[in-house]
Amino acid sequence: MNQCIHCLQESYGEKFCCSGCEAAYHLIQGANLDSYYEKRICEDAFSKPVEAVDMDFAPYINETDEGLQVHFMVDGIHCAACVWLIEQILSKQKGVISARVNMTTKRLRVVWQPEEFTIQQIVQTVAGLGYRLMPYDPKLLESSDKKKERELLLCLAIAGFVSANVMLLSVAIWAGASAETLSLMQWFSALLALPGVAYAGQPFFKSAFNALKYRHINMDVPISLAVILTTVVSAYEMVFTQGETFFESAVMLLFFLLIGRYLEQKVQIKSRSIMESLSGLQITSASILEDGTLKAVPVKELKIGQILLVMPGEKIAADGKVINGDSSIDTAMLTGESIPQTVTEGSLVQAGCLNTEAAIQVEITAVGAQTALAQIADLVEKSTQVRNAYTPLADRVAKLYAPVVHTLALLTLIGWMLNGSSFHDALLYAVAVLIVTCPCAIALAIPTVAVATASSLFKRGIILKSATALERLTRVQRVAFDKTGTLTLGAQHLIEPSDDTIFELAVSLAANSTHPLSVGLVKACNKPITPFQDVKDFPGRGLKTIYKGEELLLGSAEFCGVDGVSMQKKDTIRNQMWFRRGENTLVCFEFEDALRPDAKEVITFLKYRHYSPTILSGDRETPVAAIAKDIGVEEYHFLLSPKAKHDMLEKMGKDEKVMMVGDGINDAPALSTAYVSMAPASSSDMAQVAADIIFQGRSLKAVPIVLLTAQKADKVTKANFMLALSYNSVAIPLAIMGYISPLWAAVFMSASSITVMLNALRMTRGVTWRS
Amino acid sequence: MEVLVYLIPIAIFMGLLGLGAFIWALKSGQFDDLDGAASRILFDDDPIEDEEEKKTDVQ
Repeated sequence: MNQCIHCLQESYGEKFCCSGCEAAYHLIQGANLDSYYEKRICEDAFSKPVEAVDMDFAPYINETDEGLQVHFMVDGIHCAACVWLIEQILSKQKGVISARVNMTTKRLRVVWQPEEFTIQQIVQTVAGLGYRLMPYDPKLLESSDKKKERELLLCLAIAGFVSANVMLLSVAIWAGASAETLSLMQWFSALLALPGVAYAGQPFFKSAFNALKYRHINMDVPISLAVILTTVVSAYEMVFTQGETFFESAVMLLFFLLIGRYLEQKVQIKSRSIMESLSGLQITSASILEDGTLKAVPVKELKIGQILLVMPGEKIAADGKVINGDSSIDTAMLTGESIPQTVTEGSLVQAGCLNTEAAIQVEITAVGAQTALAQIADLVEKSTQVRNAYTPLADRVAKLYAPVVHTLALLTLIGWMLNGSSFHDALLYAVAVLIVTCPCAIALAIPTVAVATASSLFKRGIILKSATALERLTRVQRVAFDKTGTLTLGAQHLIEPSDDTIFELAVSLAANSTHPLSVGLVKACNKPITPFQDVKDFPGRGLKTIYKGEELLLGSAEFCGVDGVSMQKKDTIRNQMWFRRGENTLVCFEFEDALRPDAKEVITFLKYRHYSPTILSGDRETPVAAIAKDIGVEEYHFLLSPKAKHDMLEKMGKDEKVMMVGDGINDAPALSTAYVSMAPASSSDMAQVAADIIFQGRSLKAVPIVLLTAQKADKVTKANFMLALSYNSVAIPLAIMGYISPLWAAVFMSASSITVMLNALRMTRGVTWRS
Repeated sequence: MEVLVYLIPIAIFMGLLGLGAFIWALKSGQFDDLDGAASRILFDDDPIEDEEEKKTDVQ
């Protein structure tokens, strides 16, 4: 089998797999941009050119001084070469003023002059290259994130500037500056530190204030208290008693904490923008037939009685009855059923199913909340609310830590006063306790590990959607898998490919159809073949052509006129496709849903680590049992409805912490009920919304990788806590006894923070998993 | 040591200039796409040239 020059996918044409790729290639050549093919460095297959989405763009267009402007989310960007190609091809068009792709968020912004170029042309040009575009309103989607990120970065810059300068001045103080110089240095320090703290401390003060307002305690409460007290007491000391000041500790504390906070937010924004793109790019419009004309309507505005036109490869947008056309539909996402179902006039279809073969017309019988899909969504929402009650480790630590520290400071104050010190001295000692116990290292211990882990997983195509997923992963005792699409690839795989002429003829015929079995047959062929030209398609049944005077038939047993005797010879649990040549030759091709690579090794690993793998499938017993036996899973459940899967996980969840891995719409309620959940990037949008973790790629090895990573992260976090606490255990007694000078406070604070950060860097290397 | 009275403000002023430059860069969006910026530098084609070409086309 050849490789398509443009999309790098398997192709049975000589150079291109389809006319779309050929057109894209010539478009690129024509624009003198063919160095694109040398520039791209990634090896994964590219997406094929797509039909441009036809929709009303007007609400997304806004005017600027230079021209009209629109923002798009772009699907299919792999590396910088894609960014380069999109920008170049658009900016070569007359009328386009600027086209800029943000590679981090995979968003495109185009400014153009409406007299010379239309938005439809923009969408068509880019779609013709293989990238899907979806307009979005930047005000709704990203402005708050962007603003927050900029604010944090600004705070970080100010804290960095102030702490570096105050530190320089403090060196002079520590070196033993004489009275006047000391006073000068202190005044300059205060001049920098006071506005610096007031501005850069805002993220913490705001969050602490909000927590207190709702009678919670988070880490920001002790942090804010320590920073504010330190600054205020230092200022007071400087003005009234010419005593010691702790400005440098206060600003450095903020600087370190802001680094942690900024990194944390960056990872969050990145995974959120990927999630937004994933859900935003799902089809949101449907085509309806009205008075003989075709109209694109948003899914939300569909009404009962309207006629939907569903093209092959499209999802059905609403529940309904087929009124015209024959096809087969893939219900795997909704039911877990692995064999496509044949539909014909009068068949009932459900929203969320995929039409595979030929266009059908569907009369809508239910929309919105009445569809089976909406009922599943409802179930997902209910169970998601229950799960959100999980308290992150950081907050639990804060709850424990804050009262202890504040009591200690209070006791120090009372202790020294009882001991005969003045209130002023006793207060200073108490503040010193607050400064050294300020949970800088502890506040950094969790987020730095979380950030390092998330970015190392990110590089391997695993996106952590939920911040607490890692913590929950460490407690998992059982891993439940869905079958179709999760353990298997959800694609039909020919069991015994051959290379005789009969097989080649069958493949040449199959190349004319988009039925999953035909696609599986073509994929199994490793030679270039020429598809037959004159083929008659009977959607849902088979294909027919005449070759050298003989009739060739490919399709169901009935279609090929297979008699009962030959039927019985064959195993009926597998998907079959028959091929007849003339009167005599009759061949049966058998298919199975191929396992994901590594599925067996992953199960072996899980069993070895006592994770009790389990299969929960909506499919029939025979295929489920066959897969379970094949990969060595002892416990399996079949014919489960979405509700039954959800109930099953609820039941299991009472005794054990269960992790669910699933991809279909029917898995979504189970995913949101499970203690932790994972979904492949190829899964339905509903499953992706419900899952905590999304993994890309074909292999299932993401499951052991996240489990091992979570364990390693847990170890590193605990080590971080030990480090932070050991600094505190030295510093607190010293502070209580009144031996802490500003110098020592600064040393303890920065040393502990830096050790914790360095330790967290261990997570960036990630874990290795070998079967 | 009186010289410190001038030198420290000068040092702080210079630091503030740097901070100002950073804030300007931040506000003008230079920190919005760090991944893209890292890769863009590797492509040697000059987009300005293309734009000039286009403009002459338009004329």
